[in-house]
Amino acid sequence: MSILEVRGLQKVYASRFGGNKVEALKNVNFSVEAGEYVSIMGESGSGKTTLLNILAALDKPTAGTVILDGKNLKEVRESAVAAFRRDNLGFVFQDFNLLDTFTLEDNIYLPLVLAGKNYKEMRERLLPIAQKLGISEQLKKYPYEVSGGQKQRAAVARAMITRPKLILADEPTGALDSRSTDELLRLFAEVNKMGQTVLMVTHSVRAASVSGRVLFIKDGEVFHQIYRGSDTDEQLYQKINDTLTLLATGGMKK
Amino acid sequence: MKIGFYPRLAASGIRKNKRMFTPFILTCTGMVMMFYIIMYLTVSNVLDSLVGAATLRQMFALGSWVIAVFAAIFLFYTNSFLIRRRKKEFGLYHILGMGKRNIARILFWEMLIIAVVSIASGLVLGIAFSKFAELGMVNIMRGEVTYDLSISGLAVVRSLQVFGVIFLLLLLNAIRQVRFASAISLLHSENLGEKPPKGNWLFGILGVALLAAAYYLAATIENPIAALLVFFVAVIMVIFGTYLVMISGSVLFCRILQKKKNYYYKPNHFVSVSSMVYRMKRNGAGLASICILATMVLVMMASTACLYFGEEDAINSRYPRDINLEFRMDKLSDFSDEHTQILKDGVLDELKARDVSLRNDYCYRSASLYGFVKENIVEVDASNISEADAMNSSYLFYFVPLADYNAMMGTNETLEDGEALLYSYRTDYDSDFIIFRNGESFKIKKKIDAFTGSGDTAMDMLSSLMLVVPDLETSLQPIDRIADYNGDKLLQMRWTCNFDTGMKPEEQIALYHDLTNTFRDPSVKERLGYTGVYTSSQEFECNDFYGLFGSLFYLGIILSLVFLLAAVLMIYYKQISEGYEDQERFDIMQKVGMTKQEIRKSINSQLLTVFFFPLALAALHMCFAFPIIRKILLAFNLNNVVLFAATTGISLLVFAVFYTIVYRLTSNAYYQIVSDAREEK
Repeated sequence: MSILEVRGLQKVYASRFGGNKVEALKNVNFSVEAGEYVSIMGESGSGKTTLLNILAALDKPTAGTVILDGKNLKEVRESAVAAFRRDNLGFVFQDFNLLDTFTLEDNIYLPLVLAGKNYKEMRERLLPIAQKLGISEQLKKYPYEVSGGQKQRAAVARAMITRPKLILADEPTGALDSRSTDELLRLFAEVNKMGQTVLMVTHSVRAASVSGRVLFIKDGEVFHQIYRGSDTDEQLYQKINDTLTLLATGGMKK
Repeated sequence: MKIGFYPRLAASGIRKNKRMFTPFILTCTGMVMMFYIIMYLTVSNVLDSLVGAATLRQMFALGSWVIAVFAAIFLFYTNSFLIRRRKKEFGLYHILGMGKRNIARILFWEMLIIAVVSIASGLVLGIAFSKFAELGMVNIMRGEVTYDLSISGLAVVRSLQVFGVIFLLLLLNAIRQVRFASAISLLHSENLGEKPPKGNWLFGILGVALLAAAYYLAATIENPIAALLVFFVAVIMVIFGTYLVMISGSVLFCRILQKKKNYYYKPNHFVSVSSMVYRMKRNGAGLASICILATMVLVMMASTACLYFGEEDAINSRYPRDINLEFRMDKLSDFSDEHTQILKDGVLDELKARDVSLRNDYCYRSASLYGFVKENIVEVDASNISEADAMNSSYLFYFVPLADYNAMMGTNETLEDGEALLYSYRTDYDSDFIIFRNGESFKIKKKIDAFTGSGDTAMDMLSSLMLVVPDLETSLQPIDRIADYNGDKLLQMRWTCNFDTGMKPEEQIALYHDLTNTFRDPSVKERLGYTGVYTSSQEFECNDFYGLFGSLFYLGIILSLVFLLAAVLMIYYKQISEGYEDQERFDIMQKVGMTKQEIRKSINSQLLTVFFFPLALAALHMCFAFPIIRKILLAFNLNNVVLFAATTGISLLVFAVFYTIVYRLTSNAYYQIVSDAREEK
């Protein structure tokens, strides 16, 4: 059963007086099955971020539908959007987006507090996640007191603690050094093995090569996709690289 | 092209930062206006027509300096917010190749535009309102009203000078700040993160202790003289206490809230409590200043309004009748009935000659001296008592003969030798005996609770005990012998005669002057047998009272307005600048799933606390200041608790209403800023 279905997605940005129109997404179609680990790759300006914003209900498409777990995002009322996002989606951002007024623990609790959960339940949910992510020792610290890798792991914990249907990651390794990157990718893979569906937008071939399927976006359309099949990470890495080369040197689709 | 470039850059800078500049320009305008008005009143001719013009002038001159100094401090404070906001822009200019010199030029033009706009509009408004202010003042002081509008050249020049200097200082400060910063630090100056403060137990507890001690002092004070001294000590303690409590205490308080998991992890507390902890230390000083300003406004409004509206009371109590005469004697034997009769006849003759018909009149003999009560013994020699005790235990003792008391009050009391009736004024006396060291002792037969002549003692700030004794001449023999180290007698002897006339105010004043001259005549003194005379007229003193209390009230209103403006703007700037800092934070929270409604709620709960915490503390300060200010007002002969409670309540209410309006405006502006971030992305 597909947990996310995207059909005929189009997004047109118009300048304020209707002058120039920019078509960020032309016609995007794909679906994600429950338990999948999907990467979306593409060059700057290919429409990745726009796509992610629409999936996250942060932005509205000009045309087309997004169906998350059987629910059409269009039908979610404006006032309920935030609550919907909180209950169904988890986010991991490039720049962590942790609040410096909170300790890591409170940062992780934030979505649950907003959902009105009590402390005991939150605590029970947090402990195993923190254990797995290796930040049990850092929970009482503030974001500026820990390393970038630890910050990102806290952000992952925050995304996971609501037990979302889908985790959306936007360049999660963008601000990390290579060691932290490896660690984080290992974590994502592990989380995914536990059954968590992950959709990651990334530039990094290294990051994409751990996922189960890679979608390539170019000029606002899904241009190509690669399934891992039985490939190892290294083999997938090679395939992605080949595809990117093809894309860059003018994969003549038209 | 070169000419006009910097001015245009400066003008567009101001336009683009409207939200920051508008209140600043309004503040400057307001300050200039207030200063001009006060200055105008100081030099106004109208003052001459009022009683006590010289006092008024001095008071207004003082007031204008208070405003000038305050304006300087306050404008520096608000300007620092502006500079902080603008640094990023200047950093960009700098990187784009503008030298510090060029930036200084932009700053110069900016400051010039602000100065010209605000001084000009301030002066225009000042001139427009100065007439109202003058009419208000004349009305308050019950003087003659004229309706010609005038501009005071001197006041204009003074305003230009004072604010010119202030703006120059602001400019220099801005340039200094930009000068000593590198381009990168300018660019990032706004994002300087700050560690959440650790609550400091020591300072927090010290602050609470200081407040408690000050409250205790204020609440327990008994003596009006001591009250004045204690008041200043208490004020200083309260100021320090407030700062400590706001800076450390509030962080502690929030930390305790955070520890209470069931309270803290609730949607409406979670965000507001944590961001308050994060900010409180930095903002503690600001909040404390707001609280102290609020308290100042409240104290000033409540007490000056009470003085003004209660002056009828005060005059009536200090000058019980239309005309009050007090003749002094220097021998105990002058208290003899024969001598008193001669004096009385002489005075009545003088009054009859002037066709005065006496109403509500009463006359009595009395003697008084100061004493200190120490363990039920009255010590009359100051050298036997320590200074601290003297302050708290000094009383004025009055002696009145039984015959005069019965005549005045229409009673029929009897007393044995060594017995006395006791009337205590502004104090309590519990013991059944009064023993004078080196003198007589009296058994108190009865305590009485009213005495017509009590107002005569009211001019004294001291608490007084009045003893009705069988006969002055015999009862006071031993006390009469006591003299101070100069050999002067301690006992003051007098015959008081107070009466109403039923005449018109002008006639009363004329009569008062006439009588004063007559009784001061040495030949009259000789004939009637007294050594000195004190005369007073309610109507005459009334004008003086209105002059004094009216000008106090007026200054109170104006200074309250200035401080109110300051308090309000401080909050506004604080919140606006925090709004810009919070933009990103609220953006993140929205991404994590915070609804717009929840943002509204969280902002409201945060602002509500930030706004009303200082107000609540100020109200608390006011509650404890109440008894001590009441004691001080007693020194002004004001003993109307209900009136004071009313003026306090009204001041508080007016302040709260005003505050709530600003709170609404601020919360909207804050919400705009915070939610703008989302739309811009």
